[in-house]
Amino acid sequence: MESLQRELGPEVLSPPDEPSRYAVDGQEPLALAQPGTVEELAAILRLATEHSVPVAPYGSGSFVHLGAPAAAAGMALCLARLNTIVAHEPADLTVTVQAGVTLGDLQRCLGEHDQCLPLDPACSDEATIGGIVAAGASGPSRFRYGTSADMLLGMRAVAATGEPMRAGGRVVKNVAGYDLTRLFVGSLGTLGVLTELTFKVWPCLPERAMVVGWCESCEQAQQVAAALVASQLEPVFVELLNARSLGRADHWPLSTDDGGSAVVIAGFWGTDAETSYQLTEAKALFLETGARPEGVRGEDERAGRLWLRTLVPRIGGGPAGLVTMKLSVLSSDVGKVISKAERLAGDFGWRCAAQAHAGNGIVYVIVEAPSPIDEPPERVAGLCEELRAETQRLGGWAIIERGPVAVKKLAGVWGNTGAQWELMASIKRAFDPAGILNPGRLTDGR
Amino acid sequence: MTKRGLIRELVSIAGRDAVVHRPEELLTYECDGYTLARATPDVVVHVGNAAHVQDIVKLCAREKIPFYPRGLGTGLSGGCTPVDSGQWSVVSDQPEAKHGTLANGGGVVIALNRLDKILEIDLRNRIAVVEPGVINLALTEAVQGDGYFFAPDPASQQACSIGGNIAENSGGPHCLKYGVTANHVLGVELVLPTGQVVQLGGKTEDAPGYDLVRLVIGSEGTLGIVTKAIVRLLRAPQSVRTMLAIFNTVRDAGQAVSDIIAAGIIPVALEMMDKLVVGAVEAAYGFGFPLDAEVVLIVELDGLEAGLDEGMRRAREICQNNRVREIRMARRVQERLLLWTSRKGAFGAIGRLSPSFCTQDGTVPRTKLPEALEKIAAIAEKHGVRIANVFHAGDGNLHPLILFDDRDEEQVRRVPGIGGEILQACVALGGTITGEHGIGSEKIEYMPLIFDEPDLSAMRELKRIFDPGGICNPGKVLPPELEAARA
Repeated sequence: MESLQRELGPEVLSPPDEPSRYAVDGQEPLALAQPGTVEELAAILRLATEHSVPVAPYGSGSFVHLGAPAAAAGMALCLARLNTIVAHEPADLTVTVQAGVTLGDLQRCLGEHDQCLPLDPACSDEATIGGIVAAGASGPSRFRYGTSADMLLGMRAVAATGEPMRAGGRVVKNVAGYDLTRLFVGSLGTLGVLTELTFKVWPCLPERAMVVGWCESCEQAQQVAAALVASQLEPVFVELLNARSLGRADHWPLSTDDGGSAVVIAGFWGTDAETSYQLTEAKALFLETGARPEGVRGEDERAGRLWLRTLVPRIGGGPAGLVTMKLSVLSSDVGKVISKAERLAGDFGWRCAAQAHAGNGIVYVIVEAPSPIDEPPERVAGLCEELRAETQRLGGWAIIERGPVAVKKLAGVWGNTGAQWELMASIKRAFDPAGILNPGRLTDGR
Repeated sequence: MTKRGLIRELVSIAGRDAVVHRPEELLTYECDGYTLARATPDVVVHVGNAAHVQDIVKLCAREKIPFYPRGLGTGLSGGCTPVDSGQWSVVSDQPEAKHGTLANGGGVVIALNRLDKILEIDLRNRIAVVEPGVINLALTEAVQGDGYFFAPDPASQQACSIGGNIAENSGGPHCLKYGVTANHVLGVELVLPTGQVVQLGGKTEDAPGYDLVRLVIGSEGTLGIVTKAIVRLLRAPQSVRTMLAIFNTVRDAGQAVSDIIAAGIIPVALEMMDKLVVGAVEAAYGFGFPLDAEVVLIVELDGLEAGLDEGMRRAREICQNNRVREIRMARRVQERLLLWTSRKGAFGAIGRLSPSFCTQDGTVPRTKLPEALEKIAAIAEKHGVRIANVFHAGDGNLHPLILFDDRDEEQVRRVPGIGGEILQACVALGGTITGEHGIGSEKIEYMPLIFDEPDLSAMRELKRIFDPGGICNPGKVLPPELEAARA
């Protein structure tokens, strides 16, 4: 580490002032690298590979809870100084940014031209674009706009060896060569360090509105969501929340005590005529399926802002629970799997908050206990395994998104493995022969 | 292994009626929609199920015989055509002899056309499970009565297979709003070139680990053979409006396209055809296009009825601001369908203009469209050839059709170079060399225009991981390593 520091200079590599800020699963880095240019970044990685020093790419820390515990401590590689918006071409609906640009800065830049990137993961405006992509993070509006994998047009990265790499481009249609860009989405910084990303962006629409409906049960809420999805309305999102999750919401504008046990929230975005029409139709649809609807028009902010992130509660952003799991199931199984999670948590003497992107079958479950530090990890892991077994029985996946290291180790972060994991491990080895990039985080020791 | 021995083994795997090996029968498989490079395989097997694929791949792996997955042969970049790999002990009746030339590439074509079953339709979850040989349009036809559709709609959708769409990451006129094939595939069952079967992705979203589904999509059949796909179905839009805008100059039409996008209108399709193409499709379909127009633009909006008239009004206004000569609204369903039949039949109609044509597929940033078209016109003039243009204007995806006579060897020889000049022009404008047709064997030599050696070597690493023997659709996508780099 000292020889690295001599070569790079103290401005680029130093002992971290607050090592805890960059800790991953409680493991603090030995050094902090803060490259100001891609060339410096490349030099750092070249040296790290040479000296076999583990590297943990770091944006704002919004998603460091994802993945298996790192195999070894090394340096935190902070991308925050690579924060230039390289090019915004409003007439092409494309934008190219360096990985350290924050989501907030990007949306502000796009908003000046009434455009936006409809990406709304549960994180603050300070989250970096590179981090969001590397984490594969998404939010409610993926129902209409997809995830970052659907929005990305191209990328630049630096390989573990320090070689620059690029894939895709700045055009909206491009099938030249293998799609490395999407291989990096959700790769948790294990294949290379993203330095630049190009997205297609969307025009902002003038009006937005939400319909919120209370339901008797998660299963009923599921029926409401299904009816919305099957209709010809064009919701931006269809979220299903159990009652407990509303209690965790940071900006929930409505009553949280309606006696129901779940709510469905549908969001609409369009011209005045489109939004009014959808508000009326959606309310009727809620009533037909037995939910008690309430309409909300979002007039408190310019349309250019990502309204979803401020109006929809984000349970992922609330206080940590015992463990957070992300379940992927068929959208028709969302209600069932939430009820199961509630019952299971009850059996353990805990409770759970659940929020689902109901149209996509993505369910976040936060398990809460009155006194989390007193709960033995074996019990927590036991619940995770039971919920995972139930999810897998339904043909889905269940990963541990956030939890104590001991629980992650006991239950495993990713769950079921198959032959495809061998391919993934080979890819990891090919891209990072010295195994320095976030070792163990994604391939879980394989 | 001798050719006779190979045929015997293939017959024992897939049955006698599945195996094609007589020279006259093999002619059908010497090329796809890209006709400038031809090579016949040693044998073609029309597999009847996924287990056949696995067994044949295992046989090929054992005997080091190259194999080429083939859907319905509508590809436009030579993606399923055998090529001379130069390094195989290609099967022969004389065990030690090599006979792999461009005229006879050899190897086994694994034809997937009989795997044409829709295995499952789940409208509640908006997914379908299909075999790779299912025709693109057949899936939409199976669900449209219930108000759903499969979004990728390449112009060849009546004839192309979903497996082929996955291999090429196909687009189509309506991908401007709905995205390309990659946006609509959740999972695949893949027979690896080693014979191992893996399930990538699935019916549920966000599979853990690296996104290998998206890696396989668009890999042009070089990483394995898809034997099953889980695809997304979309709810049909409530309503649709289509208009035809006729312009006197390409520049005005191109500017109208840019202005429509910049105004925040996202049509479901923005398609352009130039005078040559309009002449050909008018002769073929009699839609009533004006034959003296320089260029026509199809603008289609879909979505909520409540918003369409306003959207169309704004699009018309933009066209008017760009000196549109005439605007026609499609008033009846039949009129709209005929307009689309004309557009999607454009490639076929070109046969009226010329004995042969070669399609290019460059993409430029949408604002650079007029400039790109001017460059293409200059290239046509320089070489004394006619180039017709039909393209996805909203995506900046050009399809210049180089017209030539395949009986004239001199012309045939010059066509690839002309195509190359067009691609170079696209790259110089910040674009790329293929938007939806793939690299195949056709555009390999242009890969270095857009990728540096480290990028290509990362792709080669991936290829090696999936296909260590290098037998799966060799000679496609990736240019050979430089001698220096190999040494």
